[in-house]
Amino acid sequence: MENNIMKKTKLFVSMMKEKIWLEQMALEGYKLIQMTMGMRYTFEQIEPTRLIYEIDRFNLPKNPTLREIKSKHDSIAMAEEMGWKIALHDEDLNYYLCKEYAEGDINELYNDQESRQIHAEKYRNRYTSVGKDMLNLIIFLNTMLIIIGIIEMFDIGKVGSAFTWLVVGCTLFSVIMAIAYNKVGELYYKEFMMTEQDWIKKNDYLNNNSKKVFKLIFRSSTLQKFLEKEGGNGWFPQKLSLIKYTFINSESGNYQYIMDSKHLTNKRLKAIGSSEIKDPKDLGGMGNDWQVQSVDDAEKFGWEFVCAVQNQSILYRAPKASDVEQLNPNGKMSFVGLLSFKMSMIFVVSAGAGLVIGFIWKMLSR
Amino acid sequence: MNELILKKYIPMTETTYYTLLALNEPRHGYAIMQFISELTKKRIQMGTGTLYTMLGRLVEDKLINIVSQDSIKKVYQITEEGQALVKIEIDRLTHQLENGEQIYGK
Repeated sequence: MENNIMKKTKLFVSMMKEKIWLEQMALEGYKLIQMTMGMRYTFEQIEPTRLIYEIDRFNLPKNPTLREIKSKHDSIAMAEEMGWKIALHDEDLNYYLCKEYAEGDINELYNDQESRQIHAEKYRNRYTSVGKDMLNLIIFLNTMLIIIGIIEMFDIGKVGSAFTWLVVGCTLFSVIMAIAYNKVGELYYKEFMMTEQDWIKKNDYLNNNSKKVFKLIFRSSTLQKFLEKEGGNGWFPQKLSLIKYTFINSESGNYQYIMDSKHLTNKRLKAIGSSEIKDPKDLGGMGNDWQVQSVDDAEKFGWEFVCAVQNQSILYRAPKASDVEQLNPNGKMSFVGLLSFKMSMIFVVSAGAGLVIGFIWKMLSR
Repeated sequence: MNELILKKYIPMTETTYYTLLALNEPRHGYAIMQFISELTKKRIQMGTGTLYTMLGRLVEDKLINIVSQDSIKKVYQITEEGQALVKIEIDRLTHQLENGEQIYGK
């Protein structure tokens, strides 16, 4: 008996990845029978079978109606009638349902948009409510700190001790956890809104038709060389950011790359005597009218659109051998172009805040 | 008939339509699925969670009710209001079909 049991430890954030893994395990002849702490899986050896796993939960609202109280038993009873079995439930009361795959039958718990959304929302609500609990904890702790601070107002030295650091530590921890829980809730919402096949296709989960490269490149020529080299191996940029480059697989080819920006587009317009693209109301620089102009110009010269970084820049390519006309006289790529608007704002704001704090600090310490 | 119910259910989704058709006779969950699957030659099939969600909503809107209930199986049947709603939808669909045939022929 003991030999038929296998234990594995694996930690998943994504429920979809977990589901796919469990289904692969079943194909290899392992059926899930127990799970502890969300990461310790116990399998029983079976004949390799195509099993389908579904994960569901049964939250209750604050003031549940009679139907809602009974809903867990009712829906499980109905699921069992349709051939689903409850494999187990974990410590967070997620129920793992399991069924043998049946050709021509419905092999999903939820197969229309309305019910899929309700299922996805259950997960989002669960995780955002934990996030809210975390924020309540911060309020509680900080209120305590303030009250104690008032009592001990005349002896700051006592307050600024271990207790303060404890509160600061707990506050930071809670903030991080609250953000993490919200992110996880959003992740599950997105995952459960899609069927497994659609999700695999969209994320290219098992095919490896895409890859991510983490790299920080400052020099234009290095970036050019990097992209050219990847292109030679059949990898073409799909998304760019300052440190993350996503490539998709396609036939290899030799291309040269250029980058265009609002500044350069306006320069071109000025050179031919047209008026610049400017929007005095667009203080944040979020408008993208220039991109339309830029694409028009580039296509006239024979450049092909590859991808854009929000409204900061556009990447174009052209076959390397052809002597295609340069879009800009000194049309070099810049790493600044890889910064998204949000990122650049964070840089500017944090640098500005640092400057102000530093200045005040200096003034006070004088 | 209630304005809100009309707004919510007309035009009706196919799954709601067939569920209401299936409940012209008392049926429990699994029987509803089989009936719909046979009637539509497997074109429309519902996952159990989907059917459960739908039945809950229809009971809440009083379009169907629970006629009997043993230990686990609940048997549902359409109400008068539900029947009236299906008839309105059938009229609408007939009209829609006629319009289509006017333009494109039979």
